[in-house]
Amino acid sequence: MNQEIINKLDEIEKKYKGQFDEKLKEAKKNGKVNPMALSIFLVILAIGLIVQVSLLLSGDLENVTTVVAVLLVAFVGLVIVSLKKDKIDKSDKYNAEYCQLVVKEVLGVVFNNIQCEVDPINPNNKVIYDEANFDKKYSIIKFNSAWSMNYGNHVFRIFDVLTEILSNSKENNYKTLFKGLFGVITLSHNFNCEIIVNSESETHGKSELINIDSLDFDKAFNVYTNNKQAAMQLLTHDVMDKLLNMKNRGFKFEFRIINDKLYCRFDHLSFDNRAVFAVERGMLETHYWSAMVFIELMNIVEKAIYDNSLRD
Amino acid sequence: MELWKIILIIVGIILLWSLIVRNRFVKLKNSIVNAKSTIDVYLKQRFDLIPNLIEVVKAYSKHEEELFITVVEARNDYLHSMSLKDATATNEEMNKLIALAESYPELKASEQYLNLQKQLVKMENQLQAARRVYNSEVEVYNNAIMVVPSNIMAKLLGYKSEKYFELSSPEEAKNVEVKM
Repeated sequence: MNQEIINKLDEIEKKYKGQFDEKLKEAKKNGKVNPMALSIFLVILAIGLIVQVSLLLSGDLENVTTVVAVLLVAFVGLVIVSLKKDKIDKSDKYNAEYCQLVVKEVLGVVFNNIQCEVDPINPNNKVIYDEANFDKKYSIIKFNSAWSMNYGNHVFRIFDVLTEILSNSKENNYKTLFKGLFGVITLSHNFNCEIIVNSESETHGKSELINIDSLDFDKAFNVYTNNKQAAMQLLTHDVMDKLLNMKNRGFKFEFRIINDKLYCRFDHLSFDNRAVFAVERGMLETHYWSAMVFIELMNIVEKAIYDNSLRD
Repeated sequence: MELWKIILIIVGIILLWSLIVRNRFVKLKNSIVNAKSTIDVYLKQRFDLIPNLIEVVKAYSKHEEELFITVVEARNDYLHSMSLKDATATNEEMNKLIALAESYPELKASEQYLNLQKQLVKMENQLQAARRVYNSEVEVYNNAIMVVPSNIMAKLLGYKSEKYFELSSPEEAKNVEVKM
């Protein structure tokens, strides 16, 4: 990281430190009771009291106790729901502000025209993730945040994503499949095939595992494809050296090219696992390095396209 | 269990294994044939540029008739035989032609040559990738027929190891001295 980048991150840290620490503390505090919830309870209470009085007048004392118990349970339930909703509302608002301000500035050190999308339930996000088919099967998918940005002529879309699968249905246990950043870029060439580069051995439909004529690369990565010629054209010795270099620098990533799209993901465990939303230097650097990994990967692939005169 | 039943089961297993191994050899051999035909396609595309290359070089150097004739003859031989030997010979002559073209600065800078060079680079990369695919298939096949106990089947069925595909690149030809 050069001095200019260090200085820019210093500025961002100074600007937002304290501001978001306070917001984080607030978000963690207990929320107040929602007025709507309180109104609903008061209505139920009024109905309950009317029922109670009528029961008392009719001499039915047993059912009075039941009515009181039901009212208490309803009250506790309403309070919990209203508190939880309030917490979620605050957390979402905090997420949006953090994403729009802090992360946007960090990404702005590298990218242009950053749009921050904090709608975690946008169905289009899931469609894009499923197109990449990194996780063949999952039970839950959550998008904490999403950004789109320009870098040269390329449009990047990066998502902070978590996927989980139900490992034990009886105990409702979920196992994390992936937690990290996922990105998609449109390339300047359509390979008309699938090329998968990862570190795991698994089947990939029609794509078969191919031998690569580099011992070091073969040890570090597995390559699957349904077009060996295209894969070999992309994975020249120069490209393989660069990918190995990235891996040796500690970035745990995998990518796949499907036709003209480059999908990449790498987990947060590549970096220190800091508290989310804290304006800590480590977290700022995590976002910066995330952006750099995506750009580096894109540059490697685009250079291979250019060197092979493949540009459409 | 009776002895004859045991022998029957063992023979059955050996036959089944032989069938599986034999089928694997056939698939691997077909993969090599397929990869070889891909190389042939790219080689033909590359050698189809020879007439254009000669035309461009001729404009700058009319004294290389001998080289022009040699390269055209080599190409015709290859188109007739499609053998590796003739491909290698044609490729060497073509590399000499490219090296000659690159020794003329004005020619190197000309638009016609630049377009040709772009096509040559693209084909060179395609050829290199095809060669790597071919060599990768050969490696898998050679390993399959040499490892124990598949090598027993390979010997019985007459499968022999294949050679890797080697073809020199234009960069290597630049070291070749060209008579002016």
